[in-house]
Amino acid sequence: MKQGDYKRLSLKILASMILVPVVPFVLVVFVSFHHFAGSLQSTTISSLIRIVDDHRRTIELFLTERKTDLQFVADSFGFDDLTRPALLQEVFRNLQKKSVAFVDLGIFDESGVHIAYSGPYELTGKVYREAEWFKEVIKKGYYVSDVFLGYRQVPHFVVALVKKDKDRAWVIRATIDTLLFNDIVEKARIGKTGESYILNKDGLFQTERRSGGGLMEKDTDGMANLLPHQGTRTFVEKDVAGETYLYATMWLKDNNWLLVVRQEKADAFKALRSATYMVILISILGGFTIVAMAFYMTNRIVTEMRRIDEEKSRLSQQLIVAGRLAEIGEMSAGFAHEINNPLQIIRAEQTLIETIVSEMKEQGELKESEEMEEIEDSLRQIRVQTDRCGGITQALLKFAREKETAPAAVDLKRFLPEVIGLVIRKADVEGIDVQQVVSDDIPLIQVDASQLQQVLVNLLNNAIYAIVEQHGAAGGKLEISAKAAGGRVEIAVTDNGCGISPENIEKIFAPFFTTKPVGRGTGLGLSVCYSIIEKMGGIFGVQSEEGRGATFTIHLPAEG
Amino acid sequence: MEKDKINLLLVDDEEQFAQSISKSLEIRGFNVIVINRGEKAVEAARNHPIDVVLLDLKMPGMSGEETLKVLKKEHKSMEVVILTGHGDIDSAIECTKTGAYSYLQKPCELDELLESLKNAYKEKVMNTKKIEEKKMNEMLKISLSDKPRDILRRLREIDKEGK
Amino acid sequence: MREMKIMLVDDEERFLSTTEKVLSRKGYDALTAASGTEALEKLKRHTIHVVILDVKMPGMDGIATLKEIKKLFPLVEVIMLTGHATVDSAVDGLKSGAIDYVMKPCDIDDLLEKAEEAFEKRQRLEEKIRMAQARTYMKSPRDILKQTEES
Repeated sequence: MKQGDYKRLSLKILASMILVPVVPFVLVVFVSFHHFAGSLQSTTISSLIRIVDDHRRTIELFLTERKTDLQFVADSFGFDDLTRPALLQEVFRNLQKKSVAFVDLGIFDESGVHIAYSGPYELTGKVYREAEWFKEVIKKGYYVSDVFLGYRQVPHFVVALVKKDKDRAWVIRATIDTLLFNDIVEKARIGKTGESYILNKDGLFQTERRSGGGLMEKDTDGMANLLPHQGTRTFVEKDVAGETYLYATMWLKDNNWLLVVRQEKADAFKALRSATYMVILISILGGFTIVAMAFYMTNRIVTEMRRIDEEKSRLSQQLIVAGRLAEIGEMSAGFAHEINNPLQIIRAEQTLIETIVSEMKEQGELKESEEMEEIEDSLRQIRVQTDRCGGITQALLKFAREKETAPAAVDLKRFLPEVIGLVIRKADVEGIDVQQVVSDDIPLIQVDASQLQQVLVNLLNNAIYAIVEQHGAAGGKLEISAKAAGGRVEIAVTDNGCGISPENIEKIFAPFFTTKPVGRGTGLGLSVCYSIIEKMGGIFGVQSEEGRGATFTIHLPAEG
Repeated sequence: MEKDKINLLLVDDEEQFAQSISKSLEIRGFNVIVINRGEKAVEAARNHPIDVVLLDLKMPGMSGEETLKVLKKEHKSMEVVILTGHGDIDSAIECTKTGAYSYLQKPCELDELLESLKNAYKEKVMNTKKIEEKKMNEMLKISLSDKPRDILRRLREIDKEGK
Repeated sequence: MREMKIMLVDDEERFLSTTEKVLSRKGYDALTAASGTEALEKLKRHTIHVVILDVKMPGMDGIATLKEIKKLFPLVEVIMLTGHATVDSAVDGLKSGAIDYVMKPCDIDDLLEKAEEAFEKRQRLEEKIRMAQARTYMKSPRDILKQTEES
């Protein structure tokens, strides 16, 4: 695989490593947040509804109680009794004892004349025939007014009821302290901004509103609230200031008053906001962790893959070399066989000539002479040379098959100096500084010592050759090292010679490959070394930088 | 030793190799005696009824070739299969001439080895039969001819030959 | 002329002719055959003691020829001579009845020596067989009875 392929691969892995956990993570966060927000809203709204309901009951109870009080007074005392100021005073005091909300108490005749009055103002004799509340109470028999200013120019509201005796009908009326009523309504407190108040049909405040809105002022915020509706209505709306509120409203008192409970949405959802912060924090931390993990894992995976790929290509490289060697072995066996037949013919011809010559000599046809000597010598040479060829083909055949090996325990601490001793003079002549580094804990190896010597001498000679190429007769460095390497022994031959070019490094183990001039190398050295090391169960490797030197390494299994 | 099993003498100085081969052969119905030296192999062949010998060539002490010669000389019917890691034609020729049944080179497929050993055993059985027949023939001849002293001498000769 | 009759079997024409010349100069009566079939044909018509047989030949190869010779003419000795020596063919040849297996290139004198050895061995064997036969003929039942009575 090329560099770019790894980059693309690692991007792919990275993308899936990030996407796969991020999608469920985001889903979980989003869904739980959504659920939380939903349940928070419904909780808030239901608590608003509950508060509205509570208030309605309280307010209605309050008003009913006031009505009952008046009813009681009207039933207990007659019109005549109550018109007596002293008794009225007495009755009023008793009422106030029962509820401080009562501000005053008055009795009116059918025509709306204020006949008797007990309270802080001087209202006796005033005529209310045209007053709104009077008209309403005559019509309905019982009436609770909106808040109004009236003669006294103070906001208040009244509760009035008609008492019908046998001979006449009269009206009893009490004024209710708006402040006290305010308290009852206002006491609902939810969060920081939760508040409750009452509006009349026209949108005027019947109680004060904490966030602004005095009695009888117009509520500019929630005009839409005044829609007629049954039961409790909830909605969300912005006020004039742009603040969003959650509303719960309910009509009271025969749909004349609207009880409003509201809370700023931001306040109601304060918990949601902190939850949001939490979610963002978790998302950032989680996301960061995922990305960091993805990077880490991707890096590890790709590194591992690269390592495996390299291992694989190294192995396949070795396989190719081994395969090529086997092929060459077979080919050379074939050659050897083919050469044997013509050799036999040459031998036969030689024998024939020899026989004929000796016969002719016996018969005196050939005289002993210098020429004759030469011919006979030449004939002997033919025999010698065909024998030699026969030897070569036999050797080739043997090489193609297996070599005789005698594995024995070899101690590199002793063995390496011996091998170096074989080339040290040659190295000295070329001015090469030869170093050897053998670690003390090096294990024994089980190999054929002469074969290992052959390999090492070959490597050392190659190194010396390369050094001379690069440096001439001074400045060469040659190092032979041996150390234990995880159940194996690593022997390395390092030189600072001319090195091997990248295109050549792939071919150096191939038979008949050489960079030496014709006649100086057969090109068989390294290929033979390679096959020897392989048969020993070892690994032969090379690293080189052209012009800087080369390192040949041999890994051999340690004994035991 | 059981009668229906092939009695094999395994001669190899590589202990691990010998152990693993002997294990796989025992599974396949051989009685295996493992020996690591040629001298001991000759000794063992004298003391046990051996059918087939599986012989390594390169060993310390007495070489495989010599061992083969002695074994074939002392036991006419016994067959020897050579299994060597250092095979070459010269030794193959020599061994075959000396009377090795077959000449196998390591690494060798177990199937090939098994076939060779079984064939060698068949050959051994044939050899034994032939020798018995020959003995019988000779005995038939003498029983009607020579004097008692000669008969005794001849019998001794035949017995010696047939071994 | 020597007593031993040799036949050379090889697909190399020049090897046959030259070797034949050498042999005849050394006093041997040698026949040649360029293939296994030709060799078998000549064996039928001539008395031949030793065959020198190439292993690798086109058509019928050396081993097959060897087997055929041993089947049809069990008394003929065969020496295998080859440039394609392999362990398997060597073992195969010797097991199939060749007396020796020689690798090319080899000296003709060496070859002759081996052939002579084989020939002599064969002669001795034949002698032995003849003797044995003669003995059996001699020992007719009556002789035997007579001998028994005497003792």
